[in-house]
Amino acid sequence: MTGESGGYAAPNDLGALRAFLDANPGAAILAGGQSLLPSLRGKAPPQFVDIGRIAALKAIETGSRVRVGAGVTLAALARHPAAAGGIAEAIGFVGNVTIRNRATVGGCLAWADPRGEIPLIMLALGGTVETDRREIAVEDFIAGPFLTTLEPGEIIVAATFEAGRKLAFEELLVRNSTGRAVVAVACERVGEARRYTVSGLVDRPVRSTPIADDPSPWFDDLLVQFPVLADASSPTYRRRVLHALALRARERM
Amino acid sequence: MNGVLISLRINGGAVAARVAPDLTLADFLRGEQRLKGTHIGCEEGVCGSCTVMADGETLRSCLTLATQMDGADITTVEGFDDPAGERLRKAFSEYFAAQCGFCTAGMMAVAREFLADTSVADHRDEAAIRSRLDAVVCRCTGYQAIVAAVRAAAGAE
Repeated sequence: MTGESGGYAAPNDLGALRAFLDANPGAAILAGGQSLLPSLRGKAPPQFVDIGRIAALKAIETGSRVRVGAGVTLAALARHPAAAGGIAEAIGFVGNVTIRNRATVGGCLAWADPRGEIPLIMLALGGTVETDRREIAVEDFIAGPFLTTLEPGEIIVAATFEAGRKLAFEELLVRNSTGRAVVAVACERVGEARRYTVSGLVDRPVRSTPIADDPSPWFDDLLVQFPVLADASSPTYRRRVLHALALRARERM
Repeated sequence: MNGVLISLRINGGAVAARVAPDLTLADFLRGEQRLKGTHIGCEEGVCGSCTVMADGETLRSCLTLATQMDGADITTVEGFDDPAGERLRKAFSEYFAAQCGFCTAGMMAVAREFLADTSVADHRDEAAIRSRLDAVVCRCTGYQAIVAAVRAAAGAE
């Protein structure tokens, strides 16, 4: 960051955060900062409003649905029993340990990386994003690559998903650690059929309808639902990777 | 100065400082606290050389603002003079795990967190060590020695 400082505030509760954003509509919400801070290289620093002091955003509540506060770090979520059904496994592919110690669930959703693991897993689980104004289904929340339907000043408060669901997660990384996914797949059993949620094919994660598993040519059914973007790098390769990963995930479900 | 007052602990000592709102923890440690053991490589979260510990967890100090660390307990490589740190220093020295030394502080921080992690079944397991050490890049590619040093430190526990 270069240039005049924009200022910093760290409200202690959601009410104070709301009041601060109303008074300073241009402020940038800072959670873990693992995507925000590198994106600011060479730019003028914004006015930061740090949500790290808001205890209400750090809770994980369990019941028939799991409610994960927006400020919960990926490391904390991965350690929680509610992450057992494939979530912890998917989080293991995010960055590396030091990134996961800081990156937050709310931040990953707000960033909406089209190949991010958190948007994919939340979509696979039929999750919702809870803001200070409304609750949005993940598929309606993600509007494109790094785009969401969040309104100006709207605050992500939590992510929710149904408890006890089970996913098999597979991913091929460009390279280890900070590399991004080439393709990632989450597979869930729905009766005798299986449902796949996939990133790396189009401009956002996508979820299939349940696909009959056998003896139908399930992979063709999957490809019909998810044509690889013509301008994606090497669509043929992506299809082959998808096939291999979907096969592995399917065998585990 | 348009600064933010923070108070935190660094290597066991209480520190209070007024910092610019956009000052990174890495620049704060090196520039203002003169703790030059924390190295700054890429400044965008890729290399891991700037890794330090805050409240027992590693973080990238180039991707953290100093202001975010108000109230935190920071340990940099200069603070690795306790038994856990000594074990690592001895092992890194014995196995020549510091080639040019640029990544060493980051490697040691990640190794220290790994060795203290009770959820790891076997701290001598090479695959587990490697998957954890991928948080830091060694541009000398001296990974074999670093992995060997962490295994040795795990054995010395």
